[in-house]
Amino acid sequence: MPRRRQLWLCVDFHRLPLEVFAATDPIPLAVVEGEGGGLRICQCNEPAVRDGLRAGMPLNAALALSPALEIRERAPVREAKALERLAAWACQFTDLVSPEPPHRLLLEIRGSLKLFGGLAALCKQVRADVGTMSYSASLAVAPTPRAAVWLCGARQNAIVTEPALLSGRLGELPLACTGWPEDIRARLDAMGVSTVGDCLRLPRGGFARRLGAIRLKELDEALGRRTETRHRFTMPPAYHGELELLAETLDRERLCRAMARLAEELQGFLRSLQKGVQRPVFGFVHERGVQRLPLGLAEPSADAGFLLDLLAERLEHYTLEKPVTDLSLDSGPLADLPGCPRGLFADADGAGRDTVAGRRLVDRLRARLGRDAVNGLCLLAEYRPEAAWRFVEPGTGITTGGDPGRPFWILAAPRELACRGGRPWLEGRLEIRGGPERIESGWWDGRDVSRDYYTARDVAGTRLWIYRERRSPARWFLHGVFG
Amino acid sequence: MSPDGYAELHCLSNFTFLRGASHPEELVERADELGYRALAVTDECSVAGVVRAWQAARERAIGLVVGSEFRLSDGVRIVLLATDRGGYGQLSGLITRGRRRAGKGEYRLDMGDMEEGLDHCLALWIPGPTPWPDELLRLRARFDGRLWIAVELLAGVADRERLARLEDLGRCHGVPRVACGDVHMHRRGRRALQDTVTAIRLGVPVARAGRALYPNGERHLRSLEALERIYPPVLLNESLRIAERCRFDLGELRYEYPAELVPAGHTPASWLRELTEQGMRRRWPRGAGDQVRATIEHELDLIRDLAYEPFFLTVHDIVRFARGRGILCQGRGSAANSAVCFALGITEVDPARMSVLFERFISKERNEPPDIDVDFEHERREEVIQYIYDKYGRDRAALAATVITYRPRSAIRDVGKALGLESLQINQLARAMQWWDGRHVEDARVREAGFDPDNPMIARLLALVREVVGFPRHLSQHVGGFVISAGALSALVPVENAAMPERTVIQWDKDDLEALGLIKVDVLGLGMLSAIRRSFDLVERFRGRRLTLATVPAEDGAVYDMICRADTLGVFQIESRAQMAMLPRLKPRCFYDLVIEVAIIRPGPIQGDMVHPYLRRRNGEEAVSYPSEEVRHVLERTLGVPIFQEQVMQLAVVAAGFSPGEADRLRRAMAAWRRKGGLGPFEDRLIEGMRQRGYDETFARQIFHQIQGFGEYGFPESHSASFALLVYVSCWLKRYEPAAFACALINSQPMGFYAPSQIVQDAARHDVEVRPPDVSVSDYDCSLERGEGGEAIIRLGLRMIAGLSRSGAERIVVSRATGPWRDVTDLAERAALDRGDLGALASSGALAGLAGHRHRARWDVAGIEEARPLLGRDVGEEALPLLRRPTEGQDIVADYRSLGLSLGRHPMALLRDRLGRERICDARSLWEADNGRRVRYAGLVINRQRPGSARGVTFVTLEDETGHANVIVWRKVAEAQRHALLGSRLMEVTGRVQREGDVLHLVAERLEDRSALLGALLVRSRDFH
Repeated sequence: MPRRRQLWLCVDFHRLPLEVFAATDPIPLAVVEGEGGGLRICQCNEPAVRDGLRAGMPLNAALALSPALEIRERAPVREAKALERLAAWACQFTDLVSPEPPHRLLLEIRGSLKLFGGLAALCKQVRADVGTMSYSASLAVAPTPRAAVWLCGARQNAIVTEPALLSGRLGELPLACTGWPEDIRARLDAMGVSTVGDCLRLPRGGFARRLGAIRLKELDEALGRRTETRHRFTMPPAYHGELELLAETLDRERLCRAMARLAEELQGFLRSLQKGVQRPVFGFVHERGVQRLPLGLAEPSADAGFLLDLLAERLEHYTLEKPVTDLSLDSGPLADLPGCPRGLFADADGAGRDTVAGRRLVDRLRARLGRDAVNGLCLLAEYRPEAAWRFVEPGTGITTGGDPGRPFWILAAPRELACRGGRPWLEGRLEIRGGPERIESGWWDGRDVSRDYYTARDVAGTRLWIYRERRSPARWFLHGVFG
Repeated sequence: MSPDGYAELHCLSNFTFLRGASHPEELVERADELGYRALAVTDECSVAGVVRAWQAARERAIGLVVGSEFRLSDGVRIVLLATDRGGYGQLSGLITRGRRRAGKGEYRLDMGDMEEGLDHCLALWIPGPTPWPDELLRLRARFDGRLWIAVELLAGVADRERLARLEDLGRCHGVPRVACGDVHMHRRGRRALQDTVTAIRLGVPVARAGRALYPNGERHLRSLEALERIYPPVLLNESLRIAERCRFDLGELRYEYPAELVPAGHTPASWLRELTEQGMRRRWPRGAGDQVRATIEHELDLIRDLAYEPFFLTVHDIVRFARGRGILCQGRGSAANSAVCFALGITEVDPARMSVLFERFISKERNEPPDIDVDFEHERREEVIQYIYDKYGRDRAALAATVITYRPRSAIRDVGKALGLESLQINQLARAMQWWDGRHVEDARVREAGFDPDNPMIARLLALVREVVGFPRHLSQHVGGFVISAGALSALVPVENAAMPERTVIQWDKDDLEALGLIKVDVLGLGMLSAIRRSFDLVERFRGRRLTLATVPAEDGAVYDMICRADTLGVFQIESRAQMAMLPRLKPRCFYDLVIEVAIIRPGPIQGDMVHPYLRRRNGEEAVSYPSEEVRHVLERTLGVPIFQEQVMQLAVVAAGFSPGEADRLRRAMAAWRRKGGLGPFEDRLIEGMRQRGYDETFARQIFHQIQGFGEYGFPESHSASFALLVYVSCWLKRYEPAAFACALINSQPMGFYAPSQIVQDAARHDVEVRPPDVSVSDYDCSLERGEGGEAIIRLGLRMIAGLSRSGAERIVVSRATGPWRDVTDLAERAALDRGDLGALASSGALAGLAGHRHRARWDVAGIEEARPLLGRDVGEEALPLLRRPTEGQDIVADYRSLGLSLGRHPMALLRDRLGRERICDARSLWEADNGRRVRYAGLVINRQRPGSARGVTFVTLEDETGHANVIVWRKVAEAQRHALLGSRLMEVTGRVQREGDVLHLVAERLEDRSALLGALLVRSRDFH
């Protein structure tokens, strides 16, 4: 049965382990992997390479060369999510996108060539978009998906469109490009078999028996001797992107620059679906939590540049409570783009310039939203009374296990007491009734306390919980009131 | 009523692992400073720290009470205190019972164990937060009249109420109360450390340890003033009454060696004499000379006076067992090198060979226990250990403990985790601590790991790490120090389970035993003895002549010639870099020279600046003079330079007027001063003593300097002599039976400085042919084949093949006896080899005869299916594969991977053209370079060595196809190029040639890691320190 001829583009984001971390800052960065003491550099960025680092180097050796090195542990989950977002982004180029984890995408592009102005133009467009997102990728094109993957693995940017030329090109490839398990490759290497061509020279039966039928199947698939069915990627209903910043920052310009990747991903996602967003939410994560900055747009948009301009504008008047460590972007509900369905991909500037400008002004003037501040209470096992509770997300706290002999009301911050004749004083002399209970604890977070607590009665008969510092100047404090 | 003082009766040291936060010595010193009358060390179900406390207390006025804290399985907590020797035995027995029932590091006791056998112990009840009268009543039933309520007021929420409650309880039930402190540390300042060890114990970060921590730092030794504010005087006075009832002193402990080795009708003395006489007839078949007789009589007299016969009989019995099993052994130590021990066969060193040796045998005045260590073949030591257990039973024999203490790495890991650092960071920091950084945690290392020591978090970490380094972490077993007793051992010291199944250890280590004057027998493993025994076996099989340690021809000139050339790779002791460098200068020509050689190239003499003076004097470049006749007598045999530990002690006696007992204390202080300090008092005493006896100050200072240098590394002559014999025997074998010796060395791996690769290359340089492993001829071990000219040829054994199981290899040998194999499938079938074994064989090249080159062998092997019951393995005819023959480089790589060595060309030979273009020279041409010339050299890293004595110098041995190059890396270069130094497998060195006679060194200026040139070649360095 004759098949429709296919052409596969493989996009290999081979730097993904590194590039899932925002790598635009010029600080040396390395992603490490391995167990316990055996941590080794998996990938590192340009500044790190200039310091003399290379993949495979033990972490300690790397640190000796590059003391300021930023280190991240390899994050497979993050990589998987990034690949999924990239798959969504790639759906703008074809309706058949098939992820090849951990870091490749396969796009069947035979049908898209015309639309994008030919193979060269399409590849150019893909490269440009990848660059905008600050990713690196290598590309390869072949008549079978597996051949495209293997060619791509060899990093040759090979383009093979003719099935007849395939076996010649594949034959030269070293076996590393196949992605076969380490032990299989080691076994082949031990037999002196080091290229795909070497494999093809071996007797088929003997090869399958020794290396597994699956290996033979893959060879056949690569050569087009048998058809490989690829899993088709389906678009998620909404976009959610996250990005960790290398160094925490309050610098708005850097924040916007880093946000560009997420915006670009969102744009690709929206273009594939031919939809827009009207209430995207930008998130800024810092030690106090997440600050969410929703934008309210007068009309749905799918334009990354526009969203970023708007964000920059909003950030001018927006207070970030703490230096930001992570970014996020949510599409919110998707909406149909206004008017001009065909003109969507054309430059939005031009005829409608004034309307667009007016719409943007409206957006800029929209009221800001505040941050929710509902907190639960959680009792901690701690001797320092002021550290024995903290606010948590509602419903997650534990409120049992309090201390006996502790007052019901604890002052948020102990209040210093006056002192007359060496005795504590609060609108009158305080009569000490019990104690001392000595609390010395908390050295580990730099807020060590050393106090003697007493129960005391004031002139009105109220029972108070007071303490005296054990360290000079040995002041008295009120810390609580018994109910 | 005013208090008369205080005795703390509930105090934990850091031997209650991860609870106590102070060393026992610190506790005793602090308690003494505070004016306590006595201190009880009451570690939890343990007395592991008491000997240290006892030593500290002995020098002070404070009394020491021995006790232990227990938490019974129903939650009741008590402290038991020993009143006398009997009470101590009961306590020790109880601890033993509790420990032996549970896994390593744990114990299990319940109220039933308190029922009886504790009538010489006093008990303190430690009530919980809510004191249950029921607990008190149950304890009163068992300890009536010997029970107190411990009142521990630690500034808690309701101390006053608690005191009142406990007073009520006591009055109501007629049980007296006593003040106690639940002490966990000697000063309040250890609070952070105490919290930290608690967190480590619980495996959580401190910040999440919550209520498991103590609320404050009151659990320290509080001042009397503070105690008087807290406790009623009567409770404080009660502590003194209790302390006075506890009169037991650890110094009372004595124990007896088993007496059962004496046959009926004999006394230990007469039986030892009988065995000695038998031995003499064997050693001196034509009759011993008068001098020997006199020596033996003198020694037997001494042994009788000190009643040490059972000890000698015990050692003799162990040695006799080993000899009966054909296990080679050799005793060493002061008592081992006696004429009696030679007669008994405990040592093979003939006293006639060493006229000068026996001054430090055992002396009546010192009353120190005799010292005999016995080395056995390392692979067969276990048989000896099992024999001891079987013979004396587990209740009478146990191993001494080794106290495992925190080292910088482990401290950083544990403290880092407790402080909640990420494991990534902890690893980084911990890994920055190299094996040679010793016990110190330097800021420089911390910076290097990428951390700022001034950062508060890191500063906190480092402060805690520095405090906890040296803290005991757990008890492990000593390598082989056995304590064997006449009665139950547990009456002497508690016995607990070790990590190894069926092993038990006592709670004291060797220093504790020595401090108490208790004897142990060291049953040690020595690789060289295995190698020598194997050599003897191989020689016997090849030549039909059996050698023994005693019959190897003595004082052979050719052997000494070889030693003088430093041609000593693989022999005992004098094979290290430092030793080899010394040999051509020292030029040993007789046995006693070897004794000196073994002792002199050690950290002690090197740091004490004894090596060069000795060399100069030996070569006649410096006059030998003695400040007095007494000193001449001590130092004459070593040309006026003290080299042995014994000489230092004798000097202290003859020149500074030390009593033998003082000299012995000096020896112990020497061993420990680097850890603990404390040579100070000896310094004044020594220098003053020598000045008074008319020695000038320079000489006195020089002697003290040498003593300091000796430190813990001082090597006794008595050990040196035993080692020297093994040096000589191994050298003789290397000289006259090089094939057998190399073969035996390889079969005894791992041991020594050199890997099989170096041993094989060395054998080749001595014209010994070595053949590769081959399934059709190799045995499991390497063996000897007879060449056409009758010469011995080494055939590498199947044991060399990485990944080949021992059982698989043995089945191959068995199956071979039934005829040759048709092909690889036939071999697999008949020897029942699994996939792993077949792969290992194919990779090794041992299938060459059956399958051709390695690529083919691997293809063939890969095609063998797992055997199926009906079909077998045969799959019928297969098409022939097109496979390339491996290149020479590939074969060499495969050789190294599989065998750890190659019989082909040296890998450096393959790189030679390329290196030549870079003007990198080979090892041979280094010898042609002028002294001081700057050269570039590259070679495989064979080993790296950083002797503690060498002031930060690292020695690196590099190897190429023409020989070795010895590289010296000074500290500055090492630190600047740490990565290249530590990380290289193939190292390039730019440096200067330094030649002195037959010794050549390359002094490194720059190092470069060229390992990339090796590609996949696997070369492992052996690192030593």
